[in-house]
Amino acid sequence: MSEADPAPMKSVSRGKRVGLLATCLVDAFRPNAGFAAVKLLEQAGYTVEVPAQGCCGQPNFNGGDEPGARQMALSIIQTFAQFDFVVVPSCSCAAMIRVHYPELFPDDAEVAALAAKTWELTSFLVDVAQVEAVDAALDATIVLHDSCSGLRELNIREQPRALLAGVRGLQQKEPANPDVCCGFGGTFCVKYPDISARIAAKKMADLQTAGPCDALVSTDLGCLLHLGGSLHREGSELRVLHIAEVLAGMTDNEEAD
Amino acid sequence: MTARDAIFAKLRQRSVANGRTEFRYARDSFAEVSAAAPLDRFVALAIEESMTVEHLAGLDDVPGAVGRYLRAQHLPEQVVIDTSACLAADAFADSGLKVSMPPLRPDHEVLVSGCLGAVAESGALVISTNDGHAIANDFLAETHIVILRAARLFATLADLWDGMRAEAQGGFMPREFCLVTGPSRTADLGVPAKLGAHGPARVHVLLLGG
Amino acid sequence: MHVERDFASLSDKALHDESLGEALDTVASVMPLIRNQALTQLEDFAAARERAREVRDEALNRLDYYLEQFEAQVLAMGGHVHWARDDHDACTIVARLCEEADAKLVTKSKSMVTEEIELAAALEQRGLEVVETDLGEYIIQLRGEKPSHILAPALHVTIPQVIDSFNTHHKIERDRPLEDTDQLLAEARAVLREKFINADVGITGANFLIAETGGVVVVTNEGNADLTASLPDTHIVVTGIEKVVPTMDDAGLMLRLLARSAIGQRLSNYTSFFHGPRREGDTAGPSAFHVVLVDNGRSDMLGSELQDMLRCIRCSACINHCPVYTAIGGHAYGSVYPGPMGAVLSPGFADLDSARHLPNASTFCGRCEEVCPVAIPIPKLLRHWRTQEFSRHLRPRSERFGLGFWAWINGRPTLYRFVQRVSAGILRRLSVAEGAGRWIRRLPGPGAGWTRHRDLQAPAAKSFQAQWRAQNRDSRK
Repeated sequence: MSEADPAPMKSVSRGKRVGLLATCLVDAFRPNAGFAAVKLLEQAGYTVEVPAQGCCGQPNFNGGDEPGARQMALSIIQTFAQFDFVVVPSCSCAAMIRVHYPELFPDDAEVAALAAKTWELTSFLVDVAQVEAVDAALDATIVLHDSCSGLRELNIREQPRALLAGVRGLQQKEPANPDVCCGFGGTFCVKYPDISARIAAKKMADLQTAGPCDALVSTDLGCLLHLGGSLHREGSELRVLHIAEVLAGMTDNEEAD
Repeated sequence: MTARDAIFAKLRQRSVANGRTEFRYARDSFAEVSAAAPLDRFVALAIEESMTVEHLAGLDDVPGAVGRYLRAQHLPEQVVIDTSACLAADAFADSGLKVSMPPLRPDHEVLVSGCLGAVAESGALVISTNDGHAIANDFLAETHIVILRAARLFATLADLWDGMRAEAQGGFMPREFCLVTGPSRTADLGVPAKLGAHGPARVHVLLLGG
Repeated sequence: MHVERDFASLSDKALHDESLGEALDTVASVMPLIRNQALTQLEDFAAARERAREVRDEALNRLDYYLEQFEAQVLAMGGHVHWARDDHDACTIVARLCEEADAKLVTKSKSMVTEEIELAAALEQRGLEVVETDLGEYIIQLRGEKPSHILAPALHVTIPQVIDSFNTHHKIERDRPLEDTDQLLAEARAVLREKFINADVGITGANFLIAETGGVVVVTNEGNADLTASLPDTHIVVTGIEKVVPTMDDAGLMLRLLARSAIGQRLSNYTSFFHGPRREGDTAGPSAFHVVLVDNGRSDMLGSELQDMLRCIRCSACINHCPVYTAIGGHAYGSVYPGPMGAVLSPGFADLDSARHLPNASTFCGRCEEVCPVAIPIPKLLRHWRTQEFSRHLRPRSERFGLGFWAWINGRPTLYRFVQRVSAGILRRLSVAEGAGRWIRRLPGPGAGWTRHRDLQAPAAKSFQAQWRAQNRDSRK
C-alpha cells in the first residue's frame, strides 16, 4: 500500500486476501483495467494477488463443450480456492464462476464455496467492501453500458452507478434503453457478424439518446471492445473506458505498455 | 398399441410420479386490485376499451334506449332480438323500431341480447349459450347492444368461476361462454387497432339497476 | 415439423429488407413498453409469475392425470378426444374427421400447432378448401408465405403488399380501387363472412385446456375463433398435450398474464371457453366436437432438462424482447416457432440436426427469461441444445477445433503465454496508431468475422499477467 493514502476508502474487510481473476480480455487488451482493479481493491484495504491463471471456461461452456469447460474450471478452482475473495473485473466471467460453476459441478461443496466468494468488481466494492466513495476525479460526461450478465445473472445495476456518482466532476447520463444487449454475446459476434453489427448499430443509436458524451463506460471489456470497435469504424470520437479505469482515476494511461 | 396407449405409457414413465390422484384446487388470488367500486370499475374499463355504457332503471327502459342509441349513431332503426334479452317483440311496439327474431340478415345487423354477467377486474362482458342465447350472432352483428343486470357483475375472475360452478347445469359449464372486452378488433392492418374486424364495430351496454 | 436450414442467407436477406427492419424496430420499441405498462397494473407481478409457474409445473408434473381428467369431461359432454403421436398422425386424424363430416370447406382460426403439423397443406392435398380466418394468417395464406411471428403472422407484410394480394386473389367487382386499411378491413370482413357461414368444419387451436371442466380456451381479438367454432356443424380443436391446466382459477391467472405479456391488454378481446357439442334443446352450435391432442416430441421433453420449456403459454414476450429476433425477424429462423422459444422448441418438435442453427443464434443476453411470465430459463435450455450439438458433432469442424484448442492451450500456461506474446506481436504489427490507441482494420481467416463491421483495438504489447510478474508484485508481500 502507498505511504500517503489520500482519503483511504472506508471498507469493512481490511486485510483480507483477494485473488484477482483479471480475465483473458483484460489480460490481453486492457492491462490498465487490471491495474486499476488492483488499485481500487488495495485502496479498500485488501491485499491483492494475481496468481498465474487461465480462462474461466465460459466460451467452451456457452459453446456446448462441457468437458472442456470443466477442465478449465478445475484449474481456476484449484488456483483460487486459497483466497478469501475472488474479484473479477467482468460481470460475465464473474457469473460464469458464481452462477455456472455450481451447475458444472453440482453438489460440490468446494465449488459452492468458491462461487459464493466470487464477485464482480463493482458489486464487490459496494456489496461486500461497502465502499462509500472512490477517490477519483474525471471531468467528463459518460454513458454507462450495462452488461447483460450483470443485469440478469448477478443483480448488478445500481452498484456501478453508485460508484460512478462518487467520481468528482463526472456527469453520468442514461440512454433510453439500458437493458438492451449490445450484440457481443461472446463467440456470437464472430459467428454471426452481420446480425451482431445490426444489434450494435441499434445499441449505438440508443446510446446517443443519452445526449453528447465524452466516453462510454462498462464493467465488461467484451462489450467495450465490440462497441468500441464499432464506434471507431464509424469514426466516432467517443472514448471507451473500463469502469475500473474511471473509478481508479487511471483514464490517462490507456496504453499501459 | 393405440396412439393413446403409447403416449400415456411415455407420460406415466416421465411424469414426476407424485401419486397425484386429486386436483389441487387453489382459488385464484391475483386479481387486479382497484380502489373503485366494481360497477364503476367495470364501466371505466368498458369505456376504455371502446364500449359505450348507458345506465337504465329497468328492462322497461330498454326499447326506448335502443331507439335513442340507433338514432344517435345514424343507424337504421331495426333490430334482431335474441331470446336472452328476455324481451318479447311487442315490448318494442312503441319504440318505432322494426324488430325481428334471429337469424341476423345482412340488413339487420343490430343485435340486442342479454348476457350471463360481467367481470369488473377485466372490464369484460360474459356472454354464454345459456337461456337459448344464439351466441354466434354476437360475433356477426355489426352493432351489439347488450343488456347487463348490475346484480350479475362479478368483481374478479375468481368470483366468476365460483358463480359459474354454482350455476352449472347438470354439472357442466355452458356449451360456450365468452369474455368480451369490446368491439372486434385487429392490429394486422397496422396500429392503432381497427374495430369491426369480423364482429361488432360497436358494443353498447345497457346497464340495468345499480 | 419442417425447419428451413438456410439461416445464413435467410438472415442476410432479412437484414437487407428495409420495411421488415422498420416493422421490427416498432416491435422492439413498442411491445416492451405496453407489456410493462400492463404488468404494473398487477400488485405483485413477481408473485403472480411464481404462481403461474407453479400452475404449469403442477400440470406437467402429473400430465397423464390431468389429461385423463380433461378427456373424461369432454367425453361426458358428448365430445370426442383423439391422440396423435406426431404431425403425420394428427393430419391423418383431422383429414378423416373432415371426410366423415363430408366437408368441402374448412375455416381455421390461428393455431401454431396446425402450422407445426402443416395441416392446411395436408387437407388441401385431399381436395378441401381451407380458409384462414385470422386476418394476419389470411393475408399470408393469400401470399403463400409462412408466419413470421406467433401472434402477428403478417408482421413482415406491408399495406401496399396486402392491397396487392387482395387485388390479385379477390374476384370482386369494386366501384373504386382498394386504397386504405378501412377498405381492406371491410373487404376481408365480407369475403370471410361468406366462408364462416358456409364452412362444413371449423378448426381452432387452444390456448389452454381445463381439466376441471373439459373446457377448451381460445383467445382472439377479432372474434374469428368463435365464428370458426360455432357456425359449422363440426368443431375440431387441434392442440398440444402440454396445454392443460388444472382448474378455471388456474386458467384465469394464465389468461391475465398471457394478454399482458403478449399485447399489453388486461384480457384478449374475446376469451372463449368451449365445452363439447350442442346439447339437447340447443338450436345452434356444432353437433360434433373433436379435440385432437398432439404429442410430436412433447412427451420426450417431459421429465428431461427441457421440461421447463413445456410451460410456455405462447405469449411471444421473449420474441418481442429478443435483440436477435428484432434484428432479423421470424422467417430467418426457418421455423414456425421463431425467436427464443422457437430456438428451444424447434429442435424438440423437429430434430436437432435440421434445427441446429437455432440454439446458436443467441447472445445469451437473458432478456427472454426475464420477461417470460412462467419463468422459463431459456438461455440454459439453449445451452443444453448446444451441449447436445457439440457432443453429437453437429457443429462445424472449425468451431469444434477452436473450442478444443482453447481448452487445450489453457491447460498449458507456458505455451499459452508464448502464443499470446507472439500473436500480440503480430497483431500489433498489423495495427495502425491512431491517437492514443492502435487499431486493426482487417483480420484474415477466423478474425475476418470481427473486422467485417468493427475495428479491433490492438492487444497490449505486454499482457497484464506478464507486467504483473515483471513487477514481481506478489513476492513483495
